This record gives sequence, structure tokens and C-alpha cells, in this order.
Amino acid sequence: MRWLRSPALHMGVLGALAFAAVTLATGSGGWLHRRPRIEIAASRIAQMAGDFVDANGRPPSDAEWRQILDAQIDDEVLLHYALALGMQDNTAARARLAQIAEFVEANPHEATSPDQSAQIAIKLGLHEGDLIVRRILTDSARRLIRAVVLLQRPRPELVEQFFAANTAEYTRPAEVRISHVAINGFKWRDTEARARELLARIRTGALDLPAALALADPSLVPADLPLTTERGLAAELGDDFAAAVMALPPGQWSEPIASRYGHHLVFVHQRLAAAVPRLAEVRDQVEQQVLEKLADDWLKLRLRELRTEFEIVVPERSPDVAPEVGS
Amino acid sequence: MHWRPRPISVASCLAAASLVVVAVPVLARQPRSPAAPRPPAPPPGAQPAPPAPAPAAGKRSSPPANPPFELTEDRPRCSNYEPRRQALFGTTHLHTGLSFDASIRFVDYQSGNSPRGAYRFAQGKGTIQLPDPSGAQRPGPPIGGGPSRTPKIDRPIDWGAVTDHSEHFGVMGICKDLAGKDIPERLSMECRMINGFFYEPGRAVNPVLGSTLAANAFTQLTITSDGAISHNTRLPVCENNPALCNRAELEVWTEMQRAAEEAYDRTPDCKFTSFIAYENTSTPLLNNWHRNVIFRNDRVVKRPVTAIDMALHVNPDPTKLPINTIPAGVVTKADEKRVWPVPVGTTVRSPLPQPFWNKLDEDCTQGKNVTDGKARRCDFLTIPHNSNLGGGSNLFPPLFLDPFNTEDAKRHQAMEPLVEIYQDKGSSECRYDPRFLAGTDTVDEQCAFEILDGKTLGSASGVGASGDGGAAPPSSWGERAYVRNVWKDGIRMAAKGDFGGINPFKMGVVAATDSHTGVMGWTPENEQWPGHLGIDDAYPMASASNIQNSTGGHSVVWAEENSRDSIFAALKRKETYGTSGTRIIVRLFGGWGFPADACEKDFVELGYRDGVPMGGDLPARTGSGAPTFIVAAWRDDTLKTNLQQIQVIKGWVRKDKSTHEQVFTVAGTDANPFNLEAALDAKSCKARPELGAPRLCSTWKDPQFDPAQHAFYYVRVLEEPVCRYSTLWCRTWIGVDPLNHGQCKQDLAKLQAGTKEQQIKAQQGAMCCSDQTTTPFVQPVIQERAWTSPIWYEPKP
Repeated sequence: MRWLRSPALHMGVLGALAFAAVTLATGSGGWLHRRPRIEIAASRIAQMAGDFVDANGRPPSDAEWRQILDAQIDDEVLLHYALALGMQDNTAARARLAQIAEFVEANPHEATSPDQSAQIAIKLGLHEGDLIVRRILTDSARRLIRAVVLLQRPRPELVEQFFAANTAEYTRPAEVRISHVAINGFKWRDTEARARELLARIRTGALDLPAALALADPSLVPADLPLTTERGLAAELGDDFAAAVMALPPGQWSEPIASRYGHHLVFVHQRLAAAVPRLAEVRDQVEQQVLEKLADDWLKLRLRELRTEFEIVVPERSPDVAPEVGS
Repeated sequence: MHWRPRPISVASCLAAASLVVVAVPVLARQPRSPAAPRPPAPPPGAQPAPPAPAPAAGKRSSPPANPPFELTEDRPRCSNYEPRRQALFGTTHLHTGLSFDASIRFVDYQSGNSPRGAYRFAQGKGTIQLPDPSGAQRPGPPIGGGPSRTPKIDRPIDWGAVTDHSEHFGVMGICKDLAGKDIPERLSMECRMINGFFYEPGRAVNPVLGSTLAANAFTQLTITSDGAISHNTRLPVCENNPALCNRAELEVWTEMQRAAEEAYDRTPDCKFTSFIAYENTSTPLLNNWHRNVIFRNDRVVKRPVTAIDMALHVNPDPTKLPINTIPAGVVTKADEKRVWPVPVGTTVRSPLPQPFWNKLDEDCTQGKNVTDGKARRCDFLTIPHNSNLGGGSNLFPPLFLDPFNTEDAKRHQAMEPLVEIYQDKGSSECRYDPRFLAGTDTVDEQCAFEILDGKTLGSASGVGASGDGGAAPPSSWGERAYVRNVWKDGIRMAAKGDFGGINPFKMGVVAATDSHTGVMGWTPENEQWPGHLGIDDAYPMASASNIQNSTGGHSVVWAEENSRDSIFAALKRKETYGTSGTRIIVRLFGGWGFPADACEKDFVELGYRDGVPMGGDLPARTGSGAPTFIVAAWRDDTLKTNLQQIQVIKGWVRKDKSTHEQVFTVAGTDANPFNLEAALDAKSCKARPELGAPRLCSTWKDPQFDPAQHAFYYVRVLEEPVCRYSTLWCRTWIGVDPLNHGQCKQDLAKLQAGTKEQQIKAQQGAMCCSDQTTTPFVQPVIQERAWTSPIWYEPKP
């Protein structure tokens, strides 16, 4: 068993063990793996909480406190994400960094290029502290994440699904075609009584439609209206009239119905139920809405995912901004 | 920074895909509606399906192939075409986050407060995002209570125009990334103001500071560029990079056109009509000389004509002359064509509308610089607004200038057929102030309606908190600050024959909100008022000028159908009226022999056949009688506040060329406008139901008619009183009751002396106990109303 004493074997085994240990320790989930730490500054939270108290005269409730924290954490995560992608190198951010570098430069008169100035600012960490740069970076990151979705064309089956799930928005409303006997409110003091009297005459005399319509007062609205939506009827004769007529059964005279003009006896000739247009007619509109919704949801999901890559340390809530009992 | 984001994992992609599948049902807004087979829409001009037992008479005819208005676009006629015209409620004036002065108040284009968002809002298709008091854009209920920051319209409107300020379109394009992302100019001082970089939302929750800074930004952005006669320059960021700025301006203007096109329903359903439009923002020394420009269709000017184009000498070197002065300018031979018909040699002490109209006329009407739209030709009209803040007092001339000559008088009439009589920033109809028991050339007490204490934009609507030094007597206002007086001056000029007998101010009426929050068509009087200016009036009762903001009104047209050509034709012929926010319906016809019982007949047929509708000129006089008017009004169907009265307001010119006015109550009952609480159910804040009537009608003959006198007649319809939105706001959010003045003051004082939370409430509601006797002038109870375009009478020589 001389080979067991071979230095080469020892070195090999040791190497394998070391490799395994390092892999285990630093790999995803390993004990040496350390997620980057985002520490929400206690001073920042205190400021936001204090501002809330200033604005509302009371401490935030638990839900409001959570909202404040969430907004702050999302901003920090987006900032780190933007920095990791090198967004501080975009033109706008560099120009701003160069600008603020001049404020803190020991010898501002000494010529340095804007790029150099920006580098100095980054070395000094100004890119993480300056509100404007932070906002440029978080805005850019947010837009970049959403753009992943917005730049695509949604899959046809998604569009169809969305369309099917939101038909109410695209539905063409129900329509009715009516004739009506109008009783003019400027002519009769009690238009409802007059309408009842005419209805009795129509029923007892079994009057046909032309004969019934001949009983009407001169009206501002034609006696015979083509297919009209509830909104169209409402615009012409009033909300209550429209709602009542849309519920009438076809083929018979109604009881008196009030409108803005007086009262009416209504005969419904035809009714078309609400209908959904073909997707092809509204495809562009639906696609845009699908993308917007997906982009919003994708942003939320991505933010949730990005959060898991950090160790996020949130300061304790100080007692002076703790919610009051019952809040 | 050593961290690198992990690549998006397969699991994440699957999650995204599953999100889509899961999200779609979740996103469904309403349960699925039943689908039913539907016959295809008929082609234009086609007959509807034959009715079962159809009557021969009283039948609505199908849309004609050649309607009575000019067709500039090919599109099917609307299925609800009404040859006798229908009232369509809309707006001619609304801003979004693409206006610089909205953006400085954190009304955020990128959060969806855009022209697209506004058009969707107007149709009831969605909510729109407003900033919370700190400037942050937060979906969901506001943290800490208060009105929703994601409001939804109560009732959709039929048509509308987004009129973002054309000045600074270039800067907006840069600051809002429409000209490309991450360009260095985005860090300019202009963008810092416009994007709120001066004030970090969510990190410095201090509405007072934010509001003050926004007001300063407004002044800086407005004074330097939008006002003076010969010092108008673009902002430095644009002067330094004109090519970029021009590109950015074009991007914004194109975006507005695209948004309008997307919102326009070109199907026979005709659900909504949008107009491509913008606002020219001439603001000399903060006097409001603003004019909205509405284009007829999708063929529009390639570049908006702005306040900068109104300067007599454009873009001088701003380093050589003080920017905040308005020196006189003299029209030279070189200016002649641009400012025609202003004569050469004229000394000018204010900006001129003539170069603005001329350039629009040349570019649009003459087709020299128009976009490639679907329509056949370009057409436009301009609508001035807020003459109540438009100068005319002290040394500064009024928004409505005298014409220079006959050609100029004709120009006024042709370019400006309408005036905005009412909006968030008060009424411009007339002024009567009960604190002085006096009016501005009027004794009409109903003119004490939504009057402002400020005289310029610098002291109204939150730009300045406290007005121009408190209450000033009505006599200190220029008489042309109010439209009724402008109409009187117009007929006086016609009577005197100054300009060939032309009346330069023959304008009809519209109303709007002018909201800078994208809430197109939102006007109800309730505690949910979304504000006029973003963070400036997130607490609208906190300052004197903010509480004076009203909820604005609607423009109404009588048009055959809801299409651009039909509505534009109605606007041009002035068959329009405005309301203070409710949906009153008004019809007015003038003629020479309407029967006394016209109301009992089909008076619409009579009116069109034998007379003229609102906005028209009385036909040639027949016989020896006086003119007769048929006027009818119906209450808002949804709100059901009864009508109190219909008034005809007559203005006329005597032989000595003095002008006069008189108010006639022609239907309903006159009542004391300063005891409105008596007609109110104080608990519900609604009018007592036993008062008033749901509809009123009258045939009225002018009892004082003199055929030798020029005259105009317009109608004002008054509802029974209801609580103003500010009353409901103060009751709900502050816990004080403005209807009980003494108790209100005591309760407010208690809050001021109370806990920190109560003290803040007291600040937010500091103006809640204002009324008609205080400064600011506020009516806790108001009478909503409608104003029609006048009908004019001109004696024939």
C-alpha cells in the first residue's frame, strides 16, 4: 500500500476536499455565501415617519408603516440593480455626477474631463447619496424592467384570454327600437294621469300602432326611434326613462314612464342583447392594455425576486412613530 | 458594488408566464357579459332594418349622405344621427401631466396622467393617477385619508379636447424623455423644476414647501417666456440646443395627436369624439391672455403657434434688456405681414393676437404647414378664457383688445367665435360683490357667483395664496374682465360704426374645467374633488386662492351627431352653451312671431323653421313686432336638482351709444341670491325637493324692444341651491360645517388649540369658514347654472 503514502495522492485528495468545501460554502445557499446587504438607514426611515406625522398629525398605522418601508426598500433594490447594470454610466447620470463632483473637488479650477469628474464622484460614493442621481437610476431601472414586456408583442392566446376576461370593457351595449306616445309636460299639469287615460283608450279600443301614436302630443323626440342604446335613450329622454325602457318586454304597450319631457307610453319593437365585438376590431387596443398590465405585474414580480438576492435590514420602529392603540 | 443580478431564471420566466395566465382572470373588471349575435352595422346612409309595424309619421330618418355640415373626413355617419340636433356634453379645456405647470405640481405624465389617460378617464374606462399631498404617486386609497388620488369619472362625457400648454412642449419633451432617454438636458434647471427634482416626493412630505416651490417654478417658467411683447424667448435649455428642442416639441405634439386619434370613435357607434388641441399661454405680467386652439380634424399644424410667436420681435437677446418689463414696440414695415391688419407705425404695449391668428390661418387654413391626416383640410378656432384674470385694470390692457380697423374686427369675429365663460378659476360672466353692494358695470346680484379676489394668474388658483391684497371694489376691475361687458362693448362698436359696423366680439359660450390633473369631464359638487393643480390643492381649503377654485363646468353643443365635423360646425356657428358642472339641458330660439303656446308644440321644429337657435343672428325683421324667444330647460336627470328660474339677459345700446343691460325672469320664480340657505336641506346639502320644477319653458317677447337699437339676448338657467363642494369637503375631511358660520369658527378654533393631529386639520381647513362676507369670497351654498350663447339683433340700415 505504498501508493497510499504518495504525496501526489495526498495533494489530490486535499485539493478535492478544498474544492468541495469552497463549493459548498460559497455556492448558492452555502454558509460562506453572503447576500449583499441593504441596510435601510434609520435616519431615512425616521425622516419619512416624521414627515408622515407632520402631514397627518398622527403616527402611521401598521399598514401605512409597511407602505413606507416597502417604498423605501423597492427604491434601494432598484438603485442596486441599476448600479449593477452600470446605469450610472449613462449620459444623464454622468453629467450630473460630473456636476456634483465639482462641488466637492479640492481644486475645482484644475481642468478635469467630465468623465474624470464623474469617476471621482463615483469613488466618493456620491452616486448613492445624490437624490437626483438616485432618482435617475431608480426610474431607469423601473423602466428597463417594464420595457422587457412593453417591447414585445403579446402572444395571441394571451390577448384572447385578456379580451375574454374583460369583455365588459369592449362590449357593445344592448339596444332597443321603440315607438312612444308622448304626453308633454309643458301642456298637461298631470302627465301621468293623462298617460293612463290614453293607455286605457289604446287597450279598450285595441288601437293599432298608428292610431295609438296619433294620440300623442307634439313631441321634441320622434315617435319612432331606431335601435338605440341605454346611453342614447338617456341622453335624449333621461336616465330613469332609459333604465325603465331597457327592462320592458317587447311587443306590448308599457305603463306610463316618466321622462324629462313628461310621460310616455312605450312600445318595444326589437331588442338586441349586448354583444362582444370580434377581437379583430379592437385588437390594437386590447394588445396595448395587455402589455401595460403585464408590465406592471412583471415589475412587481421582478422586484419581489430581486429582494431575495439581498439581505435587507430594516431598522426597528422607534416608539415615537409607533401606531396609537387601535390604529 | 460587486453584486450582479442573477440572470432571470427559467423559474422566473415560468413565473412570468404563469403570472400572465393567472393575472388575466384576476384583471377582469366585470363578469362576462352575455354575447349575442348581432347584425353587422349598416353602411353609411343605409336604411335601418325595416321595423315591424312602423308608424309613418314622427319617424326618425336615417342619416343623410349629405348632412348640413361640411364633411372634411370620410367616416360612417353616426347611428344616432339627429337632424334636429342633440345636446352633447364635453369639454374644450383640460390639461394633463404634459403641461409644464401641471408637471411642476407632480401631476405625472409617466404615471399615466397623460392625454391618453385623460381620454380614457373621460369615457369612464379607467381611473387616473394624481399625486398625493407629498407629490408621490401611490395607487390605492390615500395614506392618511382624504379624497381618492385615483379618481374615476362619475358620468362619462361625449367629447373633449386635451389642451396642454404649447409653450414648453420642447422642454417637456426633453424632461419627459419623449425626445430620447438619458440626454444631458434632462438635468437642466428647467427639468429639475418640471420633474420636481427641487422637491423629493415621499422623502420630504411638506405640502406647504412643495406648493411654494411649485409656485416659484411657475413664475420662473411663465414670466420669462410666455408674456412680454418683445422679450419672449424659449427657455435656456431650448435656446442652447434648438435642434433637440424642436425635435422634442414635435414628439410631444405628435403624442397628443396620437392620443386623440386613439380616443376618437370612428365607428357608427360614435361613443366619443376627441379633438386635437392645445393652449396658447400668453401671460403678459401674469395677466391671463390664454387661448385654446381646437382643430377640426386630424389635419393640424405641424408646429403649434405659441405665445412666443405673439411677440412683436421674437427672440431678442435676453441679456440686453430686462426680462420683466414690457416696453412699447412699434410695428415696422418688416412686421407688416406677420401682424396684419395692425397698421405699420402702431405703438404696441401688449402681445398681439394677430400674428398668432395669421400664422394659424396660414399654416392650417391655407394648408402651408399641415400634417398628413386622413381629413381633407385643416380648420381651427380659438377660444379665450379667464378674462376675469385677463387684465384691463390699472395700466394693463384687457384680454379683449379693441380692434385696430375693420379688417381686424372681421378677423376677431372669424377667428374667435367662442369664449369660455366659466371654469375652475371662476366665472367670467359678470361680477357683483355683496361685500361692496356693487358690481363691475352691473347691478345683477346673480353675478355674485364664483368670483375670484385675485386679478391675475399670480394670485389665483394656488399660484399665490392670498389674492391681490384682499377684497377690492368691483370698480377696480376693468369692465372687459367680464364677458357680458365685452358683449356690450361689441354691440356698441357695431352701433357706432367704428369698424364698418362689425361687432368684433360676437362670441358664443362654452365652459370647462381647465383642470391640470387629467380629470377630463369631472365636475360634481362633492367631497371627492380631485383638485385643480396637483399638490397645490391637495388640501384645497388651506389657502384663500385655492378654496376659490370651483369644480368647473361643461361645454355643450347642439349637434346632429357625435363626430368631429358635426361638433366643430356647432362650435363655429355658436350653437353652444356652458354649464357650471351639472347637466342642465337648454334650448333657445329667437324669431319674430312664435306663438304664445309654443311650449306645448314641437317648438324645435318651429324654432329652426321660423327663427334661429342660440348663437345666431335674428332674421330680418318682419312686420312691426318685437322679437320673440322660445326658451326651455330641463334639470340634470341624474342629480335631479330642480330648476328655479330661467332668465333672459338683454344688453342694448341707446342712441347716445351708452350700453345697458336688464335681467328678465321668464319662467320659474326669482329668489334672493343671498339667502340661499333658506332653500336648502342643510343636512343632506341638497335643495328642498318641493321647490322649483324639473322643467321650465316660456315664450317671451321683449317688452322694451326698440328696432333702432343693437341688442343681444342670452339665457341663464338657475337651479335651486345646493352645497358647494367646499362645504362637503370641510364637513367630511375637517369636521367643521361652513353652513353655520359662527359654530364653524368656534370648531376651527378648537382644532387649532387641540392635539397635533387637530392642529394639522385646522391648517388643512383654514379657509373652511369663509362665506360671502369674508375674504376670500366663498359661497357655501351655490346655484348651479347654465349660460347660452346670445342671439344678436342688428338693425338693418
